[in-house]
Amino acid sequence: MLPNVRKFYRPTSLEEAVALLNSEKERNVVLGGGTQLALSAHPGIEGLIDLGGLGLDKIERRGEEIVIGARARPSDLFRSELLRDVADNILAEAAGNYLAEVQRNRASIGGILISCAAWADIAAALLAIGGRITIAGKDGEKTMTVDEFYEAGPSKAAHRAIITELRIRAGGRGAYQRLAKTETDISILSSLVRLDEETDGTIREARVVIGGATALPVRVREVEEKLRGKRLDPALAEEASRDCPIETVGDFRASADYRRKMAAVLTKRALAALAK
Amino acid sequence: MYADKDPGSLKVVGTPQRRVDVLEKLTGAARYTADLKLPGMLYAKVKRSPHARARIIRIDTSRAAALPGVRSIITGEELPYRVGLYIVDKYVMARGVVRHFGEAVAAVAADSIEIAQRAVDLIEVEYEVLTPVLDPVKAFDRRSPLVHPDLGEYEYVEAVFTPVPGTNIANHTKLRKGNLAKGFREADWIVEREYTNPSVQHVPMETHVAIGQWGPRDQVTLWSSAQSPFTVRNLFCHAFKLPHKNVRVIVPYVGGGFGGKAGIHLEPLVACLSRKAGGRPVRLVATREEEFSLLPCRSALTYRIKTGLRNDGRIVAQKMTMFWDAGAYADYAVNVTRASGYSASGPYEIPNAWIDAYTMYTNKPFGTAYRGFGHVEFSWGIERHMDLCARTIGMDPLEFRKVNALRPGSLTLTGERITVNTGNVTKCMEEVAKAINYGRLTAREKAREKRTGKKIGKAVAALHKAPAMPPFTSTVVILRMNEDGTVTANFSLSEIGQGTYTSVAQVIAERLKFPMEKIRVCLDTDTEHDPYDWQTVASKGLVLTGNAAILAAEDLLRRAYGTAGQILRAHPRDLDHDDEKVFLRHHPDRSVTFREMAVGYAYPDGNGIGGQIVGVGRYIAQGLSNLNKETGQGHPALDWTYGAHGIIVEVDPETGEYNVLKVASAFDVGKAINPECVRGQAVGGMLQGLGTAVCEGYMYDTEGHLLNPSFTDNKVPTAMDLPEEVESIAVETPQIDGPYGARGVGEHPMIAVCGALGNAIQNAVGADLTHMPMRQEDVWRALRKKTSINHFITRCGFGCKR
Repeated sequence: MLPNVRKFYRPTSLEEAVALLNSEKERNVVLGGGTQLALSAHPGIEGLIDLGGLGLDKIERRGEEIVIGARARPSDLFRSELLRDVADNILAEAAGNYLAEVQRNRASIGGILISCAAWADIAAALLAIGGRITIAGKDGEKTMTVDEFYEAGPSKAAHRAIITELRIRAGGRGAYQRLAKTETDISILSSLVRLDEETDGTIREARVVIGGATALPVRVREVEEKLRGKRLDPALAEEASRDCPIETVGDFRASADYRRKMAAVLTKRALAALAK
Repeated sequence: MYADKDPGSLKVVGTPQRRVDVLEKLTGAARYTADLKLPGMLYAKVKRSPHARARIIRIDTSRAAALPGVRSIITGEELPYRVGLYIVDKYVMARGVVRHFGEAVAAVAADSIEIAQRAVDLIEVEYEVLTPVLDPVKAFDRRSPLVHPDLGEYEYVEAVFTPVPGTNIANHTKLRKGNLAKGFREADWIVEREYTNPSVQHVPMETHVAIGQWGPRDQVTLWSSAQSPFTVRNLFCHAFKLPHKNVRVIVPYVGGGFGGKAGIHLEPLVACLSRKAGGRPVRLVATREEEFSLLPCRSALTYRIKTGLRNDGRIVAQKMTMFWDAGAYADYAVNVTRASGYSASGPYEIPNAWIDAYTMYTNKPFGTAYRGFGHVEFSWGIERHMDLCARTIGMDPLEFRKVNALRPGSLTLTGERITVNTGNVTKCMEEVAKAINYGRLTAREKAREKRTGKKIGKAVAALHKAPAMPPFTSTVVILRMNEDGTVTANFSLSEIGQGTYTSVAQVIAERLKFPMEKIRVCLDTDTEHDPYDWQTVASKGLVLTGNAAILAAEDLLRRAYGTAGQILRAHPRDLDHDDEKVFLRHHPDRSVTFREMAVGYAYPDGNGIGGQIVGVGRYIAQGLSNLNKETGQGHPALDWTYGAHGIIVEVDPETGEYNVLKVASAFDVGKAINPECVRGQAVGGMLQGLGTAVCEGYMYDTEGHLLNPSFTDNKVPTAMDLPEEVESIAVETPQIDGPYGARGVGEHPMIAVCGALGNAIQNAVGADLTHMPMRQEDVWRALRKKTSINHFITRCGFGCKR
């Protein structure tokens, strides 16, 4: 419970929301889906800025891009017809593994990106798909790539600012492998791949991402390099993923050692699925 | 009773009657304790200890008390009341010291939950943090700090338990059978290993809920989600030194218990809050997080087994040592230790046996009853160990089990002679072996292995359990005939999902020859209006209450025959009944309906005879005794229900992941009073067992903080995790003194699933595991001969909340 919340705002314009967020008089925070705030007991938080009135919950196609509003929920992504055209639906699949139905129906994709829990495959899937994130701050809107967003660190990239939308490129092929204790478990580790290929099958761009290894999802450049400019077949899938040189962390869900070994196994399986 | 009835003559018993509570539960019409809103009711919240072991230096409630809407605040200092089932070792709230993470140190009742929570946040507690005792084996060390330095001063049930003052041993159960040293001398092989499992949580759908009202003249009313209303009343009266007539416990619908609600838990707390708030009712609903540490769990176990074997496969000696991790309070754990201490070998005959079972106090949330009452935990070790023994001598593990299985003529660990009617564990094993095509892979399975690159393994494990209860456990059923000839039945089991109320209604209908729809069983329990029952635990409900129901039905018939004999001017011996009528056997057309006699028969001139027809049936367990404290010999078992599980598993050797393809389960239930209820128990219990085998378990950091009190990090299986195929088989070897030959099967489906799975995994890929849950990484590590990771106490990395 947030003990000192006194005000609840529901702004109707983004400018108003940004101004409230940058208020010098009171400490306001953004209320997206509220699933994180519900667990918080931060005494410094005085006001909540509900983004529900800004129309940020749409998923729509604009030309070659799919635009996802920051308040779209995992369940919206999971059901979206439009996302099926993006890397074989891996974003929607990852959204379907986000915690439980209750949270999938409440959480917002913007909030998930900001908190960016290591186990949230949805965040790893976005990095695998690639795209741009639009962020509104007091100096206006800016966009950055998902890669830049993670490099800067989510809370820094969106400091006192509001994520408004994500733009992702349609097309490509994708694969998603994960390790979990049960069907409804969050992932211990996941591997997500997007391939964009020329008409003759040559790989133009490969994005290979491991989620759950460290606090933020990471791209495995070494594997991507081995794939680029080649055509994927079972031998290449095996060869490219033989080593997945990434840093891993251990915790009570799995050891660093196991995660490191599994990163290679899951990536091999993801690529093998695409090589069929 | 009526175990020899020809099954063809039974009309209601043995048929899949619809559960008596199904519509209310499915439609939401059923009212649970948390649905109750009493006039003037207050809402409670608890301040919990963030430390595993600490001295309470100071509690400042002044800021909380100043908050508008706060009606009462209590701390341990003002509550000198101790409660305890077998050892009276727990204050209503921590006094002076806290003994586990999550223990209650203060509580507030206020006009709303929000105000109560706010007040709890404002209570300041200053602690002096002490080094906790976390490892139940290290707690055994004489140099270990003591969780209960005052152990020698506590009251306890002396006939049954043996606490050791000056140590952390809450109870030491001993069993000595035959001559162990001689047995080991006769052995060709000695196989010794240690098996472990952590604490787990019951996870009932409804958390613990209690409402307490301390009325004028110390009349206390408690509404509770409890499994055992009379035990709540008994322990409450003992703690507060109140006469039993003063305390009333009401249990409405209960949303699952699994043993976690068997004892007394939140009731004293809400009662004390109510007393301080001038008698206003106070309700406390435990949060899911509180279920994990404020409320009790299942004890962890470290189990050492040393077995002497002959080359022909016979076990000749077995030494068993158990360290049960009771946590901070003895609660049920001492009795789990006792019950496990006399069945610790599983359903196998051990001619020379030696058991030392210790209940160890540690600074962790305390252990209580949990479906299986210790048997799931030790069965993990025993069933893994039986496979190790078989492998050692090169024998098929199923064959090995059959060679050693208890059979007519065998003596149990406590010296009880097994008879033909005790049940048939070998048949259970054979049934499940057949159901999984044990011992070979089918063509389909071979093709599947080839297609997936995974390995398929199979195993069979066996189990047994008797009710763990006092030898003098008793129950009562009262039947009252209503004006229209329908019958209302009162008895005090809690319907916690097990289906016993339906089965008992079937027993009553059968004996009265009434249709089911004429029988009403009262689902809620009220100690003021319902007759006594000890508890709703131990898989004893159907056997004891079913027998009492038969006796009550016969008593009711006797009363009805008495009145009918007068009306029909016949000796009751010449009467019979059917079709809701009592008639003359010799002239069946001369009859009187039960309805006409229900509350007294009136002649045409208004003159009456009889009065309400009431039947009372009392039943007390027969022929049981306490166990000798030095040898463990005696008669503890009301009945033994045997069973077996056969498991087919598919394992990925590259990742350690596995997938349960099929579980076939067979239980010798004596008589399936309601086959659907038996199947419901079998499937539900099996999946609950799989949960503890696969993914559940408490994890602590080195300071004793519980790291995973949630469904995010303490996974429980859902319907999505069901095996691809489930088969449930009922074997029926009648229990002569069971109702229509029936035995209990409430807990058994959960037992031995874990061992069967571990054995199947080993048979598939060779991973040799001694700790459950078996996580993918554990399988992966075992395959690569890497040292396993300590699951009990771990360090915390990213992603964890604390």
